[in-house]
Amino acid sequence: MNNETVISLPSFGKLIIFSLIFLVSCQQKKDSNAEEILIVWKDGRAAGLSISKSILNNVPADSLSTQFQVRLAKPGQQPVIFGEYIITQHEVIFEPFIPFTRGLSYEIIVKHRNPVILEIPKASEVPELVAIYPSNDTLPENLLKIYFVFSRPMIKEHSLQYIKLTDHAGDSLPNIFLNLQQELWNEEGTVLTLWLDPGRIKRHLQPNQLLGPPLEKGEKYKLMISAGWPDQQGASLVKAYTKNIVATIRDTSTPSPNNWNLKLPRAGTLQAFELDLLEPHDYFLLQNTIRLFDSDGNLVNGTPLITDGEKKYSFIPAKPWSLGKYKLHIETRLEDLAGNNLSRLFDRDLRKSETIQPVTNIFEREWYLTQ
Amino acid sequence: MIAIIAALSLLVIVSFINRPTSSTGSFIEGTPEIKSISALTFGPDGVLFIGDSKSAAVFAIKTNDLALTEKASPVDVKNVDQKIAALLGTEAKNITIQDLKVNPISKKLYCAVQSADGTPVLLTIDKDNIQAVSLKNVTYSTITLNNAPAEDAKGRGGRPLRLSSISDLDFSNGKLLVSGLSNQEFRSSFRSIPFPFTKSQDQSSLEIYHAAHGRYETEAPIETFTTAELNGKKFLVASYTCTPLVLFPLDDLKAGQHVKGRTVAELGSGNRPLDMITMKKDNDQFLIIANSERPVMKVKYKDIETYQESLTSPVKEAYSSAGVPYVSFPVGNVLQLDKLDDNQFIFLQRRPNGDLNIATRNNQSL
Repeated sequence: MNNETVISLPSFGKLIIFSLIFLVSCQQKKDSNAEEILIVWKDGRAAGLSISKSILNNVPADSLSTQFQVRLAKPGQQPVIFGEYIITQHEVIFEPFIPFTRGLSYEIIVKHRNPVILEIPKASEVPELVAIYPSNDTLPENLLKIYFVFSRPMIKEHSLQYIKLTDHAGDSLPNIFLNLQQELWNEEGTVLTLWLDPGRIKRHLQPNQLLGPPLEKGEKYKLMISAGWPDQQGASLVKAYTKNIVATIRDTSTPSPNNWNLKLPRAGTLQAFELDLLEPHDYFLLQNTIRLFDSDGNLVNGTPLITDGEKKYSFIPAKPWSLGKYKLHIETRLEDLAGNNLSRLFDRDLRKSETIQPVTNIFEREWYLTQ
Repeated sequence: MIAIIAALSLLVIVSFINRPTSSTGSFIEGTPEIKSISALTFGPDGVLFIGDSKSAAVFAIKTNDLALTEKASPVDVKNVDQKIAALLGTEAKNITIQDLKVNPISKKLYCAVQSADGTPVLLTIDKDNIQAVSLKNVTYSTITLNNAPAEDAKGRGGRPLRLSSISDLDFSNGKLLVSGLSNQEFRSSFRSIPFPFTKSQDQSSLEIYHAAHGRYETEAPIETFTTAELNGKKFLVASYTCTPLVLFPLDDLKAGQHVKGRTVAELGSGNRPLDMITMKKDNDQFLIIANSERPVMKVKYKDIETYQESLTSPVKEAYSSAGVPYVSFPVGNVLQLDKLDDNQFIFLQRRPNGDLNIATRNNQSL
């Protein structure tokens, strides 16, 4: 017996209450308990269960927790799930503290009648690994971080189960990445930042002295991401991904925007303003730390584009360029691939003349459009 | 005349009402928009600080959990992740215990949990009884971290500093201490924020450096920390992302300061401290450290007090330690620690069979 009706994926961003959708398990008798139980969807999550208020019309609000109970449907005694009851004009909605898990079944008991078993449908879309930055294969041996960009929000705090670095012989290398208790994800949960162990990169720290740097000049590696990495909706990466890495010489200099080559657009056009950065920089910091201002000091709106292995920064303005002065602002927190920023090296040798630049937050460079 | 007296009385009343008291500060009634719970710590009067990385904010919640308990009952919960998961209607693999903190007044254990989709949940654990804490209609105060530029940035018209992840919180000497990690730049983000929070966001953001073998100076983020009094002076005891224990005098942590730390211990490479607490036994104070790759360690504060130098020479043997001595407990895979009362501490431990348990240990074992 199967009372399942067709479920379409909920639209995102608004609360949708779905029409009757549930699986009543074969061993359950269909009786008066098989009332309409609706899954309440919110942003793609099964945020609650709703039943008609008429079914619970004699139940006082403070007794709902005994008259409308939801548990995990699995062997063994299961506790009642934590949640809240919301009473609207026509419904009583049970909202668990966290959304129901896709692919799991729940037992719903209303007014002590026979339980209804409801399965939350699995997600139909699967996540993909869209990009890895830095995008080049040849990277400095003191590479500090790697970004992983996914198409959907991923589950957190399990990343190192799915990421490994192997050497030329295919052996997995231990202690390469910093295993933070709280992983570093963007707010949407789609970009993971993974640091190579800074203690192994920084010169003369104990891990560096004993284990050497994570990457060694001249060596070849494979960065492997395995299939099965779940997203927040329970779907998983379908295929594995591999990125080749060849380690090259240590980067021991700070980025130098004074030397960057500028390619100027023509006034009156929407041509890109281009910066040749001479060396690869941090993909996300490039997007967040460079701004253009016009001669009146107004921020120039437009779209940045990072290409050429993060060595080229292009900016396409929303409105045509004007004749006159423009100012380029670069926040000094912009880093190269080794974590050197505009005002300091990642680690500074006190005996050498690796002087700290004056502490400013903005590096400025001006340019003029004369044609 | 009567009118003047009445007006003066009114003024007195108004000024009295408007004057924030030390316990109410900028507290309001309502439902805080907490998007994530990354770290917890308790402040005065049962105030629970919730570090919300997603909002880049800290919420101070009045728990009203003020029933004084001197001696706590030991907490012993086997398979705590499975029990919490069942109560939340999911499986253990879909939840993460983010932090565990004991209310120093009631001795009740507060537990921050995050579901796979990022929804935060706050629970209490009393003996083996797990309860949900509603964060609706509470008395709270908040401070946003990413809207507050560092002092030096403000002066130069700089943009706000983004704090991407709150790695640890502590409350000491009337100040909330917040360490953070950025998901973009490699920088130290350590803030000292007076509490009660003020509208002026009187906080300081510090640049913290440490020297490796007296030759290389580096800026680095702090992952976990605690505070301690050594030789009558308050110190920040911090674990860096790239080397173990570093000490900073708390008095030196001032806005815009470039504060240098003193590395007092290397606890073996390939290992990082995950959590630290201070426990007393008789006349001795101990730093108890949970580690990523090593058992729980105890370090005598007296040994830190007498260790006046900074680690200067490389450790010769791989995985050996240096600096202040420590003693290992036969307890491994501990992820969280907190002081339960003067004589007991709790810990969250992943057992070799995969079980995740909360257990209690008496300070007689120290």
